[in-house]
Amino acid sequence: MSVRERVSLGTGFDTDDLGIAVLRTAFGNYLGATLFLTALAWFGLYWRLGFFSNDQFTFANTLVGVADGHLFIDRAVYGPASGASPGTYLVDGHVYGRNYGIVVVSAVWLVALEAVSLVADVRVVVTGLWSFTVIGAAAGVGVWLDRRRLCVLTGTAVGAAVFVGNLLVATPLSTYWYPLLALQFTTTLAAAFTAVVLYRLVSRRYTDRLGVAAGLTAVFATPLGFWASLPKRHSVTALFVVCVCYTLYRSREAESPVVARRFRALTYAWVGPVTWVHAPEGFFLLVAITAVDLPTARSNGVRDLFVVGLALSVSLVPFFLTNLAISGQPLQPPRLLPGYSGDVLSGDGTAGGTSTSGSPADDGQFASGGNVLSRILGQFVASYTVLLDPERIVRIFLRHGYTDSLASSQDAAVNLSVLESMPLLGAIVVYPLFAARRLIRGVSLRKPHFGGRTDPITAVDAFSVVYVVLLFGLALTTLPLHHMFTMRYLHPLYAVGIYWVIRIPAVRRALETAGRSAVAGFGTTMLVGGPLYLCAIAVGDLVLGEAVQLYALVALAVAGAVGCWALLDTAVGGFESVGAAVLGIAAGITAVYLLVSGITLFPDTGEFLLPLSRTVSERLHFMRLYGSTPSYW
Amino acid sequence: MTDWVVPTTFALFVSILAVASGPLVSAVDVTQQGTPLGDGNTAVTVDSVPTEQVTLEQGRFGSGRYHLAAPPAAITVDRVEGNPALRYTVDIPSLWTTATSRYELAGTEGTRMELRPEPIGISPQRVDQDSYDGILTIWIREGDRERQILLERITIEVKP
Repeated sequence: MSVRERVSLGTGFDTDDLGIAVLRTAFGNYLGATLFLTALAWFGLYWRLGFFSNDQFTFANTLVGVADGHLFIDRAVYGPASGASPGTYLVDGHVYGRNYGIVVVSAVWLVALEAVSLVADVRVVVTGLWSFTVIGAAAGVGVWLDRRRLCVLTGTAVGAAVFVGNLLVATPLSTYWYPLLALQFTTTLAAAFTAVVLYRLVSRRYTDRLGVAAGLTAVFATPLGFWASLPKRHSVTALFVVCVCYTLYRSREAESPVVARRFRALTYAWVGPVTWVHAPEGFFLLVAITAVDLPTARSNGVRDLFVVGLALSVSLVPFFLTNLAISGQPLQPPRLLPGYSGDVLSGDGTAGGTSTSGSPADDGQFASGGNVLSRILGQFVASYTVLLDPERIVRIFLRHGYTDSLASSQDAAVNLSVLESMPLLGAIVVYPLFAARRLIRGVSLRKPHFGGRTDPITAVDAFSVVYVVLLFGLALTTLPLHHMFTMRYLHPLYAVGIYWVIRIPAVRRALETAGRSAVAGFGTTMLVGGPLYLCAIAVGDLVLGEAVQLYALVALAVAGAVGCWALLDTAVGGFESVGAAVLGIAAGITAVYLLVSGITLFPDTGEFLLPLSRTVSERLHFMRLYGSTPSYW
Repeated sequence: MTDWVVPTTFALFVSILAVASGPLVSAVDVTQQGTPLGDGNTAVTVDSVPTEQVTLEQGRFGSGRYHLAAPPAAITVDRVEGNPALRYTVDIPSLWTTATSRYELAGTEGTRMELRPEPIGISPQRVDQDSYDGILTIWIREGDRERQILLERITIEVKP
């Protein structure tokens, strides 16, 4: 490893070989590490401390239990005193949560946080760490631009200035938030790694520049940034979906059969953690992998299948053990257990209700009981039927707006459609054009080959399509639904969407030949669009729903522009510079929304990780949005 | 390696400060707690409240829901000790809903404050009259005591 890479990995010291191997495995190279730190710095800006939805009470209570050394919830520290927040289950008089994959990992951070709090002021530590993500990211940029000294010094100056600024307005970080902070750390890491893995996938196939563009898109221009610091399963499942794409690619690309087998096994190993977090998504991830991997593998010998099966089984061990400990049935995840709605925890003694009805809106796909297989089948049929309902499809994918099918208590227009959430997806309108061209040329049925094997990218293409089709089958029937914000049940679609956009030749051409236009478009939109959006909210006296839908309309217009350009450039060619600018603008408006929505539209309690974010949020708080002064948010 | 002298110095500074302000050393305290809410006492004068102009307006940009809109109520804060709180509510009994805004009063002595009703959203599925009766109130909280300083019966017009 060169000195350049060694230094730029952000350590600053000669790391031993093991350390370097770990960093290489995690980030690939210094660019991956830089993207990672950039992501953390960006997510940190609007990292809120507060419960965004009430199943996060379950999450935090479960974590308190796990940190105490057991899987059940015995203290309802957060939410209702009965502990009956959504996503709790009752088994043998014990109350259990769900998403244990995230909870158990977060327990490690919680223990670390509590240990740190014994000797240091946690607020100072976290704001200091944030400043170091800025310094590290700046150092990485310095290596990329070959201006290391300048960038390190600038980064340190900015980091130190913000640190001092933070301290000037700092309030103590209450221990009340520690479990939440630990959970947020897990999901934020997952979101940051999603950018890294996308970078590695794209740069492996194409160029570093395109890889960096893909990684930055994940951070700034998709709902991945919206959910990064909100403790929900979505960031984590999206991460493992792109991990599958990456290792699937490596397994097809590798020359040596041993390496290929290793990556193939790894592809299946991602199923375990997803299943541990959310069993249905894990199961359908496995179905998608199998459907693509078996037909396209270079060999399906006994030895290959044994290794694959072993990797899958080992990855599922934590899931099985958790289920075994909770219900005694290794294959029965918490979601299939009777729901808890009673009063075990507040001390009334009587074991509470065990409602098994489980409405489809129960933040998930499966309720308890019944024949699981027929339920799944019913769910898929119902979901694909939605595709025949233009009204619902428009609401889900194009224009959400006010939706009168939602109950009157839940119809606040704070939700965005898929396209409004990620206007860059407008580019994928060119795919029908590709399909048509292929049909005309008559090459569509010939299997593209890569040295006698399936082209690795074809395998990833196939996987992405099969996975998204299954994801639709799992989720569409419940949509549109309240509290989706960015159609979060389809969350991994955004990570896959970045891949789909980068796969469009016109997009790659634009970014390769006119990268500067893209950066200029993005920067201008951020600098002008952010203040403009805030002015519109203040001057127009907007309420929350209006502010969200104003963004949605602008995003739709930009998505339309992206789509028109992609079609035009693909059909005629020669609009690289315009195209790059339009892509930059589309990314920019999403970034503006992430920042403004995180800081002023949805500030939860008004408490933030960074004291300065809190101050900015209070200054930008428009009486019309909340009415009260910030301490009463 | 000279590049790293500056960031390393900063790292040392952060670590030392974090430990120095931590529970073991407690040499410095860099974080301040705000004044506790609601304790204290105050005297305020209500200058004006919107009695005629409170409306239910439908959200623009396709957001659909109605929200309360009104010019701000104005009060003058004559005297403040501690951090008492003020509560401004618009109750619409037939819609079973109350808009409640709360304000801290610390640091507002001698100023004129503008109060805005909380922009609660009301589904168009529930709005079926041209106007609703409402009750507008202002309350002061001083420690354990809460007193009402204003109550007005108002009519809330629904604007299409």
